[in-house]
Amino acid sequence: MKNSFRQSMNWLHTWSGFVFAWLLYFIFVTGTLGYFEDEIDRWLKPEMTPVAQQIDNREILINAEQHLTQVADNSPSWYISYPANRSPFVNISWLQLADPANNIDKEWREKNIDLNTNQVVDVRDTAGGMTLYRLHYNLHYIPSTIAYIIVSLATMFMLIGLITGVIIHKKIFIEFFTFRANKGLRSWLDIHNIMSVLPLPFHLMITYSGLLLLMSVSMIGVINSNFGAGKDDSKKFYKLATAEHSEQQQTLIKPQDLSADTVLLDAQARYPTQNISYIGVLKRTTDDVHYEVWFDNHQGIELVSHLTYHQHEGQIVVDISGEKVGEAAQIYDLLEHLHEGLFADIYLRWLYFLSGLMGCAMIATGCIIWLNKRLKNANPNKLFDRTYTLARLNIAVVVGLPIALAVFFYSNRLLPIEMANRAQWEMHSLFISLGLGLIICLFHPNKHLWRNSLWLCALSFLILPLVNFLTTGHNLFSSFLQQDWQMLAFDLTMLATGAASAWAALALGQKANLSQTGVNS
Amino acid sequence: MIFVEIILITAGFVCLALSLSRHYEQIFNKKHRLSQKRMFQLRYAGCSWLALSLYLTISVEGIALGITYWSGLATLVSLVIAMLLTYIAKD
Repeated sequence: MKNSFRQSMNWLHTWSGFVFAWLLYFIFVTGTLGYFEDEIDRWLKPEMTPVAQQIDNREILINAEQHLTQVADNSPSWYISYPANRSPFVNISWLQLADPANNIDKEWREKNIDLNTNQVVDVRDTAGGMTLYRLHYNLHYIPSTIAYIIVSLATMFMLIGLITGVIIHKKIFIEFFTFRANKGLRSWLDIHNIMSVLPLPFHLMITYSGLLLLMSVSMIGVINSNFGAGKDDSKKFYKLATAEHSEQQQTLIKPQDLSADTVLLDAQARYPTQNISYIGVLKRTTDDVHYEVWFDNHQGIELVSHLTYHQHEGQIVVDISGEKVGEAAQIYDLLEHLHEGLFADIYLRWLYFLSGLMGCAMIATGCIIWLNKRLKNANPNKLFDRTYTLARLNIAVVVGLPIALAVFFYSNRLLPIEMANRAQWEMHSLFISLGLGLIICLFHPNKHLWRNSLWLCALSFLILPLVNFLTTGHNLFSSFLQQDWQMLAFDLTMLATGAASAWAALALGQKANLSQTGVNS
Repeated sequence: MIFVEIILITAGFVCLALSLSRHYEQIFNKKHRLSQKRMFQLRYAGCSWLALSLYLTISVEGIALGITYWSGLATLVSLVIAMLLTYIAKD
């Protein structure tokens, strides 16, 4: 039992942080990347052609429907996606039905349409930005429910870490801007404080909303005791909880005229200032075909997100979706939107990204402080000394994860296009790199490990745009000239990351020597 | 709007930073000590600038988006100021 409250909180902060530190670092890095999911996705699919000029919605619709009829005539669900702010592409997607005889799974398929040729483009099979960002709650290789439980637990400890951190930081206002460089442990503590306190609103929001998003896992007992534990019972809960206000209005469309084209015209007439992001054709194989029109999220916080057109009692009606019925559901929605940041414009998105990166730095510096405090009493001459081993493994995680991400990007460019299970192998290469890193760091001598790792990281990122050019022809100049902003921004960000890593390698070069008294002491 | 916002928030955080004796002496070279009166003036001014910037974001973007934007910009600006203070002090 500690003597004072603050000492207890200090103990709690240290050990609640320790338990899930590396997992939380993984979550923060992959989650932060998720804010640029669309942009990363564009880079991972270089065959796609971005739409730079103004388009005619109706023409695209006709063309898209032709393609869909060719490839997906027996599919019950079609979607046509229009160029949106962060995703300037025309795509068609459909639900492919299962065909056990031919070993075909039930899954969503997507194809990109090149507006210059009106042809479907063959895009490489890739895990995509979506799989990358989903790592932060699905983890990988384990069933998703178990992943949710682990991530939820880690998030709870993160919240404890944040709150105890604020409690024990006596001089939180006085030291708000303080960073005393070149003073060893004091400097690391200052940086840890800056990375935690300055983005504190973001950290608290992201952690609490993260817990909320996983509430159906952590609070499963509440749902079970109120609704029952069966699958139908949880569906009942879900339907009640997510019930939306929906306004049904008459339309002037005649039942025999109901088609995607007439629906598009009606939707554009109702909301002329809103950009359409998707048109969906659902329940195609039944008599009761539904048409959905979705609007681009970026156009401000507008309550209407989608319209559903269908036949009702002989007339064509439109259901206009509104906000959730339940107040708790509305609060959930607000926190979910804040967490995901889908509403954010490009400036706010970069601010989200910055705060996320500061969160990664918060966790990494926390690990380094924990280690440095104990390296003083460790034996530098024994390779497998407990603390020194942990310190080397720490480098494998903190620097190794960015390197693994670079390897993932390389695999997208270098794996053969026709390879079987290509998307899975991209992910495998990420984790193989992480695993190799752990093994290498385990046996690498303490001396120069930080420096070598940081240089490897710098090189991996700096060379990536070159490999992009050599394998696909995309480069900084062509991206700029073709107004392919996502491709350009990705390549530039890779160069910036490489440069930052090189700077760190140089800055630490003279001082960091794990075999002496730890990092930067 | 973002440009104006950054200027207002910068003004706010600069005043608040100067209201702390550690940073006041970094900038004014230990010649002047921060008086109690000056400290209150700077704190009041700093909070006013920040409140004004918050009012601006909320009035332009609405309460939810306004608070979000303000928090994000405040993080960015205070990070830059903290880093500048460290490296100015070295000279």
